[in-house]
Amino acid sequence: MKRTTFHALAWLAAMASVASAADAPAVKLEAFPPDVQLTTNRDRQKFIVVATRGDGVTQDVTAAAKVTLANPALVRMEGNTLYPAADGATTLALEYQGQTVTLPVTVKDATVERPISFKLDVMPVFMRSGCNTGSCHGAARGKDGFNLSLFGYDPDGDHHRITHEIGFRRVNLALPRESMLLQKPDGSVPHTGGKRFAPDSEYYATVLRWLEAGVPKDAPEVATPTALELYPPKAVLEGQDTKQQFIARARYSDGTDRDVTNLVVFLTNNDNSAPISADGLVTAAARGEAFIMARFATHTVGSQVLVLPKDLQYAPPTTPPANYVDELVNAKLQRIRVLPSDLCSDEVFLRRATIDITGLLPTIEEYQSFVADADPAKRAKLVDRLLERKEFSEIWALKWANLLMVKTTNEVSYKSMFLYSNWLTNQISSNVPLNQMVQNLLSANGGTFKNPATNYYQIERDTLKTAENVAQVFMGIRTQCTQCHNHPFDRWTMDDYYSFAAFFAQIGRKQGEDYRETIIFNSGGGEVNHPVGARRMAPKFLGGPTPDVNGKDRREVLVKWLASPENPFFATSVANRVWAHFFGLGIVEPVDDIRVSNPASNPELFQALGAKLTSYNYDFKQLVRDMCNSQTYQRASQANASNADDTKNFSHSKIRRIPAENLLDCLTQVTEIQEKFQGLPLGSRAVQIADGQASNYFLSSFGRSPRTTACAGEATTEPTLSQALHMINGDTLTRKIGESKRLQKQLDAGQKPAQVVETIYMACLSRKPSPDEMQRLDALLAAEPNPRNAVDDILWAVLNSREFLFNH
Amino acid sequence: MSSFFHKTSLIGGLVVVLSTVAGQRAVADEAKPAEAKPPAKITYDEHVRPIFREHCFSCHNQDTKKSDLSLASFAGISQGGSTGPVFQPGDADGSRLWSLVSHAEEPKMPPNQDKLPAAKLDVIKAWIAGGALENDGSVAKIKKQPAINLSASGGATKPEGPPPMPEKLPRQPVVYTARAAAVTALAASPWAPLVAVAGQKQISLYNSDNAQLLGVLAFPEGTPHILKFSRSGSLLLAGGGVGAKSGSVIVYDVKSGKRVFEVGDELDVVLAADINEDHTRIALGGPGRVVRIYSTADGSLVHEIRKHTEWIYALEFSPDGVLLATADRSGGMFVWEAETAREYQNLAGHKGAITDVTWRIDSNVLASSSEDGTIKLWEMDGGKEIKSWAAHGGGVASVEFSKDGKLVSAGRDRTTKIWDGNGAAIRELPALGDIATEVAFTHDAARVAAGDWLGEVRLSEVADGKQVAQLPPNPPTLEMLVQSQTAAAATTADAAKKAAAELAAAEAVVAEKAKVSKAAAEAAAAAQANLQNLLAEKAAFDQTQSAQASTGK
Repeated sequence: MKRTTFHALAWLAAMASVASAADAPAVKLEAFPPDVQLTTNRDRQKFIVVATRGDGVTQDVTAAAKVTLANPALVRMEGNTLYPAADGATTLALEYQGQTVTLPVTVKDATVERPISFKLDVMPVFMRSGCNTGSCHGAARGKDGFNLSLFGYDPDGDHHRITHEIGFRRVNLALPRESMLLQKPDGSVPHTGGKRFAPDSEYYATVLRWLEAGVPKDAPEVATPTALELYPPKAVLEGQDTKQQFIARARYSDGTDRDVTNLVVFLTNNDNSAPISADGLVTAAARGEAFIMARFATHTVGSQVLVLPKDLQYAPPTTPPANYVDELVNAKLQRIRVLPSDLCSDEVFLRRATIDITGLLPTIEEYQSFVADADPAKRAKLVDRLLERKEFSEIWALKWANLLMVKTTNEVSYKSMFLYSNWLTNQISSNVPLNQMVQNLLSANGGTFKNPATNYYQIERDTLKTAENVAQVFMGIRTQCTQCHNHPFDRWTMDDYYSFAAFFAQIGRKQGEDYRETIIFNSGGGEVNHPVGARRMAPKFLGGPTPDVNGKDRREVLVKWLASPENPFFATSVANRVWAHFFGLGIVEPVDDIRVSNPASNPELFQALGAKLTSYNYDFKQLVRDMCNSQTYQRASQANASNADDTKNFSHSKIRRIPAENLLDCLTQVTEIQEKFQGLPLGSRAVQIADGQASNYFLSSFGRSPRTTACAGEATTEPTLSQALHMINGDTLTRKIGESKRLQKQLDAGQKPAQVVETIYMACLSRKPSPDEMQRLDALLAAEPNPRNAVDDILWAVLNSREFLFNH
Repeated sequence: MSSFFHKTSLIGGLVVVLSTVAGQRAVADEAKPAEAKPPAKITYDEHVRPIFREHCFSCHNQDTKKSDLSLASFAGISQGGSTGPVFQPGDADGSRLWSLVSHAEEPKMPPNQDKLPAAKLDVIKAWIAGGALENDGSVAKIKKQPAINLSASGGATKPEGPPPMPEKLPRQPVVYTARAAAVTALAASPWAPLVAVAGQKQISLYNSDNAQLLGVLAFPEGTPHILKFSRSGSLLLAGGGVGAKSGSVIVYDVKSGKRVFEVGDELDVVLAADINEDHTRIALGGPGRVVRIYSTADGSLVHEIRKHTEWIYALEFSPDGVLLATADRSGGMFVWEAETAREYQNLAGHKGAITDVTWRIDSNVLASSSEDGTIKLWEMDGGKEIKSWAAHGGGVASVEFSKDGKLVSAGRDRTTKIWDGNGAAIRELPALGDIATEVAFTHDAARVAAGDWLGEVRLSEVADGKQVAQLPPNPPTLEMLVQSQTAAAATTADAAKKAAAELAAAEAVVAEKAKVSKAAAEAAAAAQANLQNLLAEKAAFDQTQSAQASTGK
């Protein structure tokens, strides 16, 4: 009987696998690129055909598809590559399982030779072959005496260095094949970097062609690549060793395009799941998601690739989503076939939301009334209540103060710092919309006492650094790389960097009447020059247009764009910071490193949150409400079998250590022993400390932000040994427990030790001790003659437990 | 190193005559072990001792030891006699033993007798030449002699006889390339109208008086990066190789084009090299940062100078051969005692790579050119910089002293400039098509050859800066010359034909015109005659009228 069952099950499984596998009919057929343009006799274009099944799985069916050229006289086809034959327009029809897709094909100048170009043909070879990377000739000092610009940011300089820097050595115009430029990479003479390409390769042919042409320099008006396309835009691969070919196409300023599949650098951010070959072939490996990137010239683009195991049994959950957050998170979970965890208990939710929103623990009274409340909407109501508390704005004032590096320095007196901090807290507590706040901050003029927002330009006085900080804090973009070279893994160029910095080139500073005060004003003069060629850079929005700044305060022009819907980065990056606070992880993580090569784990959610923030008129309180009311926020932290490996799709709640300031405040809250911070009255909370310079041992060791840079990662919650030791033995906890009269009062009031222990649990962990715990605690209490000692020890133990230290 | 030293046999009369056997030996041992059969060794024990025993032992045995010389044992003969060593391994003519037994010197041996039979003398001579081996197991310790006459004079005085010019060298290029590469090296003979231009795997020799190609020397080692005529003008040194792969120095005999020396086994090209004034030393350097000095006598490495921290870009022996100046890519420059390779001066001052060094003919002043754009003059007593001037914007690529103390330089500003000995500009020649890379004065300093990055070598007059000719590093092949000459001849023939045709046509036209003119003349004459008749008739009529009038009165 048992045997039969086993067989029956096996048979069922086999059937299921057959049904879900490749035989399932394709519901969508796509071909890439969407159109084919062949210009000049050197052009060519590879195409790929992708079928998508009903369950979203994609298949590379390029080889299986039936290909029909409407007019074969115009195009020569080799495999899946098209070559021009004669001028004209035709179509390419691709048929697979009864579905057809048709690509328009145009051929122009089919017999015209395309002249060799240093920038368009040769430079990409250096990039693809890895010649100009930072570890080779792209290093600042070059390699073995030969220097190329890093990732080719200076093609004219590279041309000079190759041809004229050292006379004959690198190029031999008489015998081009004997040029060192070819002999080194083809391995015919010793090369530290080894063999980069073979003499029969296309790369060799390109460089040779340039050498044979007499190493011509490009005309100044040579086309520039304006865009890079990577196909397919996404792929869902089922089963190990499934393959998908990627192709890349570059578009140029003269309207032409080229198949650059053989010239882009392919990268993957997850080699375990989707390794990619140098030629763009992805082979599915372990289950997971990956981001495939292609880099060409200054462009980096990416496609998302999911790898699923074969024959996965999956039934999507049926619970209706609470709001758009759930819809988008669930959609992603469904795509990767992951089931979310169940919702957490009321007790857990109460503690989680209270800590996240106010930075404090729920009181025993709050706990009792919330648990007793039978209202089905009580969670939403709790969120509303918490959002109205002043502690909410204090947490966010602290977060912004960290990013704005509010602290006393040699340049910033305590007074200005204090005024600045108050200004910031006021902006947040009076619910000034974020865009307004940023505008107030960045366009501020006047004395650092009179208009404390001007301290932004007093804390950081360097023009370039100011621009870097603004991009990082308000757009989540790190532009630091592009000070010296084009960003290797993003779209930003040196031009972008210096033209963005030009907005901050005209900040005037002079001393006020009080020697501690600096007056910030628009000096109306000052420019930023590009280090290569010393071009004067006109102010240009990062990733945006070049505005007219004539006669205007450049910073005012900038902020009107920066904190507006026209800037695609502002709302999304701020929303992502808010998200990261409540979920312990940004949708883009780190939150201030948004780039093509560090894509959002859920791009739709990322965009939706930004759009919502904009539609709420930049009132982020509303956004917090959306987040906290979502099921996603309210999920249990316990993983299920399906989502145990998921770390970035919010399928279960992330356990997070409580940040330093909040943790100290919570300790104060439960022991009722107040802290004295420098410059603040006794009883102030750690989140209220204005000066980044002021700290104490507890805060420092638990990772309070030192506010030395504008990085979000300055405040850490990484565990360290000193934290553990400080909790066990340090004076903070010892003093607080030793001096605390709370438990004594309860004992004095006639409460039994067991009752006191219950209040300890409710105050610290927002729950009652379990019967099992109580049983063991009773034994301890019975063994200790002095009840005060016993409850103190239990309090110590609870405060040292991970359950207390973490928000779960 | 020695495997690179070919004792290229029998160059004109310059070779020290070795016995055939020994000559073959040397070649066999050192050059082509695979090709020649090793000859039987001539040893003391086997061949020479019997001769001595027969003719000499009566006086020179180990007991009698006349003049303290015993020929009865190898140890004895090696010890020599009262006058010192009696033989010099490898050099029979320089051995007292040979001088006496061959009766070239007094006292003739054996005393008061005829010379030994020629066959026996040959054995003795061959024995010495072969290294004076004791027995079969012995290894020759020949102190090798230079393969050519070392009696070259210092650079200042003209050697006797007509200055060497190539004689009947092949003019067929080794490689023909449509385009020339950047000019890597140029040199002019100090005494003859001869300019050498580096090309690909070859060196082209041009007559600088008429720009005729005199011959092409093969340089299969790669590309020459340095060309230098010896001070006497009889040898041409070429250093170069294949970048990042190999480098060596070849010295050619100018007249015959034959290879005289080959030294160096570098792992990258040789960028700088020179041969000293008496042809005994060759110095070379390159990306390896080490200056190596070789003996031309046996190709052995004599000194290595490891002081430079960067690529050696330039070096030159002083005309008197006493000093050696070397310079590198980071601006380091030193002067060494040529014989000992001891540091003599450290010439610090250039801010960029030093591209060239050149000595004034009196060996007291050194000029250096640099990528920092300056030319500097240094005196040799204290190593002081005595002059420095900005010569070429962007960098100076090459500089050379003429025998009369002028300087010529070229650089990244594409120009060639001529300076007097104090750095005062004399003339600037028209700019080349790209950055200038090399420059040289002809032997009489009347002309200048300058080469650029595009591979153009321009020969110009110093006096007026006018370009006289081009000296291409990539001369055309003979086939191409034949073709172009044939084409030229054909064109000439065509032109002659055409001219004849034109002449004929013209003649026809002339004849026609003559006819017309004759007809016209005839017509004119007829008209004239007619007129005369009419006039006569009229006169007659008038006369008649007046006569009638007078009678009618």
